[in-house]
Parts: sequence; structure tokens; C-alpha cells
Amino acid sequence: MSALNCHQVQDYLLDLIDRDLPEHVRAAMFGHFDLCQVCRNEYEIQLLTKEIIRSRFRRTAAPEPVRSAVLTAIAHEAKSVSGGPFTSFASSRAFGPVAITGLAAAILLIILNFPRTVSDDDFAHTAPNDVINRSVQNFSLVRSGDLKPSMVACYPDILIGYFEEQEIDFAVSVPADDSCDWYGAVVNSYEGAKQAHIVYKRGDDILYVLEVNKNSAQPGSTFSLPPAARKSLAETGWYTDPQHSHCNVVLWTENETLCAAVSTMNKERMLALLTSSR
Amino acid sequence: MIPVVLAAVLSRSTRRKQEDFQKEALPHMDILYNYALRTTGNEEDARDLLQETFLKAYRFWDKYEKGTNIRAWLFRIMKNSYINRYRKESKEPDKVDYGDVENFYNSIRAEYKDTNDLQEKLYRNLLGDEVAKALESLPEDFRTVVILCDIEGLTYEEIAEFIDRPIGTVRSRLHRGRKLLQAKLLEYAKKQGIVPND
Repeated sequence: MSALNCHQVQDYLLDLIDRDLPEHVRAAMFGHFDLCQVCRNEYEIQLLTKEIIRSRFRRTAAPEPVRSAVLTAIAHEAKSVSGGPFTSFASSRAFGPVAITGLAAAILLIILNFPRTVSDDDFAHTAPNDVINRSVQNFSLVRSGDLKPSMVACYPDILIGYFEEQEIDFAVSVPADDSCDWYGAVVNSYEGAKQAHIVYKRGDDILYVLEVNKNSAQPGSTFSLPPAARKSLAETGWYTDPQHSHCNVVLWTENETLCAAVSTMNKERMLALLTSSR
Repeated sequence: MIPVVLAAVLSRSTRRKQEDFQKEALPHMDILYNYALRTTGNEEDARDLLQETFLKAYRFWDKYEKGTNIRAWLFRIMKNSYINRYRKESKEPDKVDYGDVENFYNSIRAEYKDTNDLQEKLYRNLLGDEVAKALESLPEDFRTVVILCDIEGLTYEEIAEFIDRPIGTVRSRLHRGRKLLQAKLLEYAKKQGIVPND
């Protein structure tokens, strides 16, 4: 092969580094390097860069906990699709944004039309066992890092699997949010009643949901509710608490579960998210 | 009776889907994990990205055309998930004066009898973290081809299929990606006094 010029050498440079070149082309390349320091430097720098990258990042096998997490996630997915206890949740995704927006709009209408002619006592929720009071306090604890999820996942299905294993006496609702960065979950008890805590992290926003058995919030039971909340939940299944200037509080019931969500998130966005599982 | 029969059919098809998925997709977990690790830069994000990729792949398993390149299909799911999750927008590469790199190399190259001596000096002192940072700083498109070529050892043809672009694009991104890396690595080497400052 005749001698190569600098332009031709540049054309072959990547092949010389990454691929097999015919011997006569290789010989011509190195012949050129003997005469041209610029091209030789270019070749050596590129080779050096490749070697540094290759030597610093050896391929590793996916660690066992990572592998297990993937397999568990798929197993949960298979279970929910094939008709497990959370089929309704999985299929709810098919509702799509139109249905979600429609539901959110309907709920907003209910909220806007909610009569405001009740007394302040009807909204009061200062008792330590008050569900709203507890959910707002827990929201602060989540934000300060004092209430930490015991598990974090990027899919709600994983949380559902986690809750299934906690022997909770009500079905925990985990509305899905596709734009959520991660979901967190923890379960504990208050005065013998189980509480499920769910945290949604979405950019700078945090949405916290406290879920308890609806029966444990009946009058005279473990948890209390302000009369206004009780009335609205009985009539519409929803309640938004007007007492908070720094955050939004929404309560709703789902079968035997009472849920209380708190967030600094925009209210419409919050409602759209919360209705996505219905 | 009908619901019972239907449930059995669903269950069998789900089982078959799981078996197919396990047989075809799961063996590629390592390469995807490595890519996730190199592209996110930390184990926690890599784990989440890997989990998200396999869940999506499982959900859309019926969209995968059997006999086509499963690795490339999974890789595209991971790349899209990464872009969505981290909202990485394709950015213009930093402006780098490649002349600086070449001039510098030219000046220190003369001090070493052969390139192995120079490599030894750089390898011994340049920390993995700095190399990782340099790699992470690359624009997404460039970083992808560098990872696939230099770490995963894929051929240009395979990379072209993975990123769904012609080989010419692979070559050009690889060339520019390495150039950007050279500039970054040189910066670190200078900062640490591994090589003399100008």
C-alpha cells in the first residue's frame, strides 16, 4: 500500500484503535507515524484515553440484591396482571389522563360547592389522635427526615408488595404517579391500630399519605376526625381541610380505608394524582 | 364456570410470558446494569433504572419482535427511561480547545521513552472517581457510545443497532466523546499535579 497522507490516517484512526485493520493498512499507518509526530500523538492520545476508561471501569455482574429486586418487581407485576388482589389498581392505569382529569374536575366541583356555613369547631382538629392533625405532623416529620420510609422504590407495585407482607387489616391504596421520582413506605401502629405511611417524591415536592382502617376512625375509636370532615366523607367520600395556609390536606375513603394526604404540591395536581387509582 | 376457565388461561399465558422473559431478557441484566452504573454514576440510581427497565420490558413484552436483537431493545428502553427519569436534555458539548490537549501531550511526550511510561504515570495517579466524573460530564449521546465501545467492547455495528443510528454517527460520536474526555482527564491530571501545569 502506498504511503498515507494525514487526512487518510485520520480516516483510519478509529479503526486502528477499535477494530481489525488489514495488515498492509496497519503497516502504512505506522509508517506514517514514523514521519508525522502530529498524527502519532493523536493516535497515542486516543489509545491512552480508551485504555484509561477500560482499565478504570471493569465490567461487573449486577449485585445479588439488585438482581433480587428486579426479579421481585417482575414477580409482583406478573401477580398484579394475572388477577392478584391489586388487579383493579393495575388496570386503573388504562383510565388515562382524560379520565383522571375528569375525576379531578368532578372532585374540585364538590370541594368548591362544599357549604362553608359551619362553625369553626366543626373543622377543629387539635386532638393528638386526630387523623388530620397526625397527618400534618407526620408530613413535617417526613420533610425534616425524622420519619423515614423503611423501603423506597421507583414503582408503586413494589410498595404494594411491601404492604401485603405487613399484615395490615385494610387494603392500602397507592395511587400511581408516573412523574414521581420515588415512592417510600413504612408501617407502624398507633394505640394498637395499624398506620400505613406513603411518601411520594417528585422533584422538590413531597406528598405524604397516612392510611388507616376506616373503622378505627369511627366516633369513640382510636382516631378522631373533625365533624366537618366526617360529614363530607360520608356524603361525598372526599374532604379538603381549609385550615392550612402552608400546605394542602385532602382526605378520602376507599372501601374500608381512610386516607389523608398532605403536600405543598399544587392542589389540582395533587387531586389528579390521588384520583388516578380510582 | 367461564370465569374459572378464563382465569386458568390467563394464568397459563402469564406463566409462559414469565418463562420467555426470564429466558430471553434476564441474561442481559449485567450489561444493562453496567451501562446504568456508568451512566447514572451511582449504585442506587443504577438499581432503580435497571428495575424500571425490566419492568417496562416485561409490560411491553408483546411488543418485542422475537428473533430481533433483544439486547438492543432492552438498551433502548433503558436509555429512554434514563432520559425521562433524569430529564436529561441533550446538551451541546462543552467548548474545548483540542489544540491544548495536543500541544500539552506533545510537550510531555518527549520526556517519556515510550507511551507505556506515560500511561503508567497517569494510570497510577488518576483516581477512578475522577475518570468517572469525566465520563459523566460527557453529553449523553457521546457518553453512550464511549461506554458501549470502550467498556462493553461492542462493535460499531452493534452500537449502531443499539442507538438506532448509522455507523458514521457512531464513529463521529466516539471520536468527539474521546476528545472531550481527553480534555477533562488532562484537567484533572494538571489539578493534581500528576502532570506539570502549563
